[in-house]
Amino acid sequence: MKERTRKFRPIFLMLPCVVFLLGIIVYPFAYNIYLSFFYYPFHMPWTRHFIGGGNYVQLFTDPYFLGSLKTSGILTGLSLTVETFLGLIIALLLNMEFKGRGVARMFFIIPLASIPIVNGYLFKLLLFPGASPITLLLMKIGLVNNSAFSWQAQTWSAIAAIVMADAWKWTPFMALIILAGLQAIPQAPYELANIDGASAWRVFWRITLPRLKFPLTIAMLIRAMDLLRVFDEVFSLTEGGPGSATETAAFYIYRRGFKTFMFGFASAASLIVWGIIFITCFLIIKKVFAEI
Amino acid sequence: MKKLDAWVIGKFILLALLLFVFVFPLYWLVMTTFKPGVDVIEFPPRFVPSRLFFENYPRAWTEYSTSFLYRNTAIASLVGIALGLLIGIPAAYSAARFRYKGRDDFMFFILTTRFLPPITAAVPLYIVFKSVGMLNNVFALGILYAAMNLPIITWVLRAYFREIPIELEQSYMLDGHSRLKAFFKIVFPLSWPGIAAVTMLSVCFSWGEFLFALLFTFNIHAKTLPVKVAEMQGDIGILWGQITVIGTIALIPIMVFFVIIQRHIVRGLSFGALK
Amino acid sequence: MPEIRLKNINKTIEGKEILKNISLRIEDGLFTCILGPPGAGKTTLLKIIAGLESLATGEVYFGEEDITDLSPQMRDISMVFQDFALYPHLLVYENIASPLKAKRMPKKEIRKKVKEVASFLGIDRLLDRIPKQLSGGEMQRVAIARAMIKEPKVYLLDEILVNLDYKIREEMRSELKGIAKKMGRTIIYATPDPLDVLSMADRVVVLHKGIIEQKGSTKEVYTHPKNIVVGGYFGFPEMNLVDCVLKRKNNKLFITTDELTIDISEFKEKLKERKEKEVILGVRPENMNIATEAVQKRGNNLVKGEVVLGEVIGSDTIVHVKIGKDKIKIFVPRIYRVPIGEKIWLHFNTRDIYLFNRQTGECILG
Repeated sequence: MKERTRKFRPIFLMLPCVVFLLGIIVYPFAYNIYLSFFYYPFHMPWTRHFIGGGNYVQLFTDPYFLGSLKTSGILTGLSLTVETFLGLIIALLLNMEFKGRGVARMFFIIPLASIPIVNGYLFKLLLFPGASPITLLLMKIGLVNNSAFSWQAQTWSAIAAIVMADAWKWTPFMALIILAGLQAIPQAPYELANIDGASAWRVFWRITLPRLKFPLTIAMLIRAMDLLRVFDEVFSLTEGGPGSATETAAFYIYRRGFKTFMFGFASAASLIVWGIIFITCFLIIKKVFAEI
Repeated sequence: MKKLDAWVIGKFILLALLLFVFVFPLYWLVMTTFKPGVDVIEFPPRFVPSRLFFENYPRAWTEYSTSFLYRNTAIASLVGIALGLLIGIPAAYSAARFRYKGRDDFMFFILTTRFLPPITAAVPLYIVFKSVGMLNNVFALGILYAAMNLPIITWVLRAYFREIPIELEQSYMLDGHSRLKAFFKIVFPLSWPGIAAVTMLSVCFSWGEFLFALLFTFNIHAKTLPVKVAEMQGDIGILWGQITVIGTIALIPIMVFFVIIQRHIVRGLSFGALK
Repeated sequence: MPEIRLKNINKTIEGKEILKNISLRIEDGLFTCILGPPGAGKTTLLKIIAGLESLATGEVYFGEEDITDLSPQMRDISMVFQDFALYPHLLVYENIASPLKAKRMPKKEIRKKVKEVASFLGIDRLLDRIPKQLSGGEMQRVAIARAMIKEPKVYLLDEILVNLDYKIREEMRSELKGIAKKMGRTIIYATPDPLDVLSMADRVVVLHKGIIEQKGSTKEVYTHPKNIVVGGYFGFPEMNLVDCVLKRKNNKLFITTDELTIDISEFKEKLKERKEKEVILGVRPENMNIATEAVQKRGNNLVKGEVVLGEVIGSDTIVHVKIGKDKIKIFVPRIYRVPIGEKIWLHFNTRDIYLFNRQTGECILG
C-alpha cells in the first residue's frame, strides 16, 4: 500500500546510521573474510599469497587457540556469576529505604566510570606478592596463609585476579539494572505476602525473582557479550600469563596475530571468535525476544 | 522485635562491608600517588602512607605531556559522542515514531554490530586507516568510537522516544510549529535523562578505550591516556609510581563528570534496561 | 466558513482496518458529535481531519479545496486530545501561548491574548504553574484555551470529558454548549457517551467498527435509529432489547415473548411486507413507566417484573427489573427507592417501541 506523497520520508533518518555502520563495521568485516584466506605478513607484504583454508586449519589444530577459547569461556562464566550474585545482593541492599541511600549508591557506581586498562594495573598492584593488602586481608580471614602469595603464578589465581578486576568495574552495572527492576515491582504482592506471613526467603524466591527475570537476562546478555571479548585487563594484569594460561581469545589474536603482523592469520582467528559470539548471542536474543 | 533489629543491622553491616570493598581499590590508587617512589611497594603493605609526597603530579604533567594526553582523549571521546548522537538520534527517532519497511531489520542490524569483538575489526581497519593516512589521528579514532557507541545510543533512545506520547508532538504541530521544531522543543527536552545516560555511557567507554587507541596511535599527537598508562610497563618492569599517577590523572575528569551526572544515568539506565 | 467533506476514507494501521470507506459531510458552524464505542475509529477520524494521519485512499475537503495533502500546520484547525497533551515541561502560560508563538506574534500581543482567553475560561491565576500541578478540570481548560487562542475555523475535541468526574462532566457539558454557541464555529466532538450527544450536539455521526452506521440531526437519529447498533447504543441508559416473535393471528399482529404478548395491530399496515418472524423488541428506559393503579386496571401492555436493583444517579433513578429471563432497565426522573425483590408492574406505550430484524439488525419499526 502506497502512502501519499508526504515530502517527509522517515527512512532517510535511519539511513545515515545504517550506512555509517556498514562502512565502519561491515566493510572491515567483509575485508576480514577476504584476508583470512591469505598468508599475509604485513611487514613483508610481498610475500602475501593465497592459502585457502590454511589459516583455519592452523587455528583449529593450535592448542593455544583452543585454549584461549576455553579461557574466554571460563572467564565469562566466572565473572558473570560473581557479578550477578554480588549485584543482586547490592541491589537488594540498596533497595532498602534509609538516609544516605543516594550517597551510598553514588559510591557504589563510581567503579563503573573506571578505565579497564588502569584497573588491570591497579589490581596487579593490589595483589603484588608480599605487598598486597588484599592478600593480607584474606589472611586475616584465614583464606590464605602466605603473605607472599603470587596471584600470577598459578592459573586459577590469575583468572581470579582478572575476575576481581572485571567484577570491580561491572558489578555496579548489574546492581543498577537489578535495582531498577526491583523498583519497578509493585508493592501489592509484598503486602499480601506480609499478611499471609510468608518467610523472607519465600518472598524473595516467589515474588521478587520471577519479576527480575527480564532485566536480569538483558543485563547478563550485555555483560556476556563484553566478557567474551575481554582484553584490557588481560593485557595489564597478566599479559596472558602465567605462560598462556589467561590468554583470552582477543589477547591470543593480539599477541599472535597483530603483534607478529600475521594479518591473514589474525583475520581468520577474529572471524572464528566473532562467529562463536554471534551465534551464541543471536540464539539467546531470539529466545529472549520470543518470550516477550 | 529484637530479632528484626538484628536482621536489619546485619544488612547494614553487609552494605558497609561491600561499600568498603568497592571503594578500597580507588583509595589505594589515589593513596599510592602520594607515596614517594620507594614507598610504592612496601613489604608488608601499609594501609595509610607513612609519608606524603606531592611531587608526582607536577612531574607527570611535564614529563608526560599530560595536556596533550587530555586533549587527545577528550577529542576522541567528544567526537565519539557528538557524532554518535548526530547519527543515532534521528535513527532512534525514526524507529520510535514511524512505521516503514525495514525499520525493525535495520534496528536489529545496528544491534548486531555490537557483537563484533574490536579485535576482529582491528586488522582490516588498520590496513584501511593506514592507506588513507588516518593512523595516529584522534578524529579517526573518534569516528570509530561513534560507530561503537551507536547500538547503545539508538536502542536506548528509541525506548525513550517511544515513551513520549505522540500527541504532544502532534499538538505542537497543530499549533503551527514544524516537525523539526517539535522534536527540539518537545521530544528532546523530555528525553533528557535518556540522552544524559547514553552520553555518559558513551563517554565512559570512549575515554577508557584501549585496544584501538593502542593499535592506531604512535605518538603524542594522538595518544590517549589509556595508552600512556600501558606505556609505563616496559622491559624493566612496571613503573608503579608513574602508572598510578597517570591512571589517577586519567580517572579524575571522568569520575567527576560521572558523579555529577549519575542521578540521570540511574534513571536513564533503568528505562533502557526495562525495555 | 466552509463545510468539511470526507470522501471514501480508508485507513489501515498495522494491518488492521480502522476506517472503512468513510464519506461524511460536516456542516459549517454546527456542533457535530462522532458517537461510537472505544475502538470505533473516532480518534483516527479526527486525526485525519487534522492532518495528523496520512491517507492511502480518500480525500478531505475544506469547502472546495482539497486539503488531503496539506500539512497540519497549515490547516486552520485546533484539536484537544483526550489526555489534553499539555507540554509538561512548559508553564501553563507557555502552553497556551504556543500557537501564537508559531505565528510569530509580538510578545506584547501574545501576553494580551493569553490573558484574555485565560480569564474567559477562568484559569488566569494558573498561568505560572506547570501542568503537573493542575487538576483534571484545570488541565482541560488549559487545553481548551490553547485550542481557542488561535481562533481556528474548526475545533476537534477528542473525548475530552471522559477523564473527568461525573459531576464536573455535567457542568462542563453546559459550559461547552454555551461556549460553542457563543463562538459559532464548527465543532467536531468525539465521544463514547450518548449523554454528551444528547445534551450538546446538533448533528451526530454514529461510528461503529470503522463504519458510519447513521448520520443526521441528533433528534432524527435518536428517534429513528436505522438499526440495532445505533438504537441500542444511542441512549442513556441503553435501550432495552428483548428477543421476541412476530405473530399474525386472526388478522391481528402480536409480538410475543415467554412473559408477554403485545398487540401491535396498529402497525399491521406498516409491517405488511415484512416476512421475518424473529425480531428484537426495543424500548427505551425512559419510555417504560411504573404502572399506577389506574393503568394497571386498564390492563393492556402491562408487564410484571421483579426489582433487582435501584441505582440512584444524581436526581434520577435507574431501576433494574427482571422479567422472566430478561433484565431491563427503566428510567425514573426522580429519586425512587424500592426494595429489592419487590414485584412491580411496568407499562409502556406501543408508540414508543422499536422492532429490529434479529438477523440483520435493521430497524423495521420505529
